Amino acid sequence: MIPNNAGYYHAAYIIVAVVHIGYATSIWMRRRSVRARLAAARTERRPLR
Amino acid sequence: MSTPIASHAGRPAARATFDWLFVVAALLVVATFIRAIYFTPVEALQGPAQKIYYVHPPSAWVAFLAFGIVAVASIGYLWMKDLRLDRLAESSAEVGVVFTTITLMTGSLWGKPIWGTWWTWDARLTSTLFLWFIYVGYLILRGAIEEPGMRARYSAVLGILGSLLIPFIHLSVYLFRTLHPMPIIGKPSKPSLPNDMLETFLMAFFSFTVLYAALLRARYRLATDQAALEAEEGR
Repeated sequence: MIPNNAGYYHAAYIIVAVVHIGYATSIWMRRRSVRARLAAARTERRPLR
Repeated sequence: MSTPIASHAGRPAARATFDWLFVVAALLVVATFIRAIYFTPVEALQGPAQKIYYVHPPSAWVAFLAFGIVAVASIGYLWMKDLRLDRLAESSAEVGVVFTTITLMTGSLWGKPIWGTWWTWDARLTSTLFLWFIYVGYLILRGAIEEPGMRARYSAVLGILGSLLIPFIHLSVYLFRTLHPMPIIGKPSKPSLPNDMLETFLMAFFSFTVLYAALLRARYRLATDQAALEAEEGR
């Protein structure tokens, strides 16, 4: 008889999806924040005409 | 006098555009999940929990690949003093830690129904956990040092030393009496899986490798922007 343990593999697949989506989102958010700071720093440095 | 370092940080960062590689990677991973869940037979002895195999070894493979790239990029950095290689090592280490975390978590989820325990201090598991700690330490070390040259040099040394554990982890199942199963592929003899399962297994390896490439590229772009910001704020 095949053991009934599908819950473990469902949990594993959900963890894989959540961790990857979370990590990709964290890269996207960090990059957005860095680019905003970079743009602000460059605007600040630009001499007034 | 310190060695001059090529930073290439002044160059404008890559544009934040639609990332086709991410889309391809996501589609491949979803296709792998669908094939594993609906079109791959259930193993008779282990039951559905055996399907964790389609995410656990591919994650471990990508983690090893990522830390291997950390080592190669770190050697390259120490040789050429090019900060782009340091950024590549940093990016690969972070992605590698994510995949190692998944390896440890999915391994634990497989261990509970099959071994009857979430964790055991077996050589393969313990050395993988140790690898995870080394690269988490690597990322903490990078956060603790502000001067880019010193940060790159110290972390390169740690990145190279950490990677020496990878062959040991792979061979640990041969060197010690462990609970961990022997390799199914990546061994001298033919893969010990029926064709249906083997195809899903290989598809998972491929899709996770593409996902690694997509995450590495995105993380490298972030590192490039961070370096440009550091250079801008340092002026």
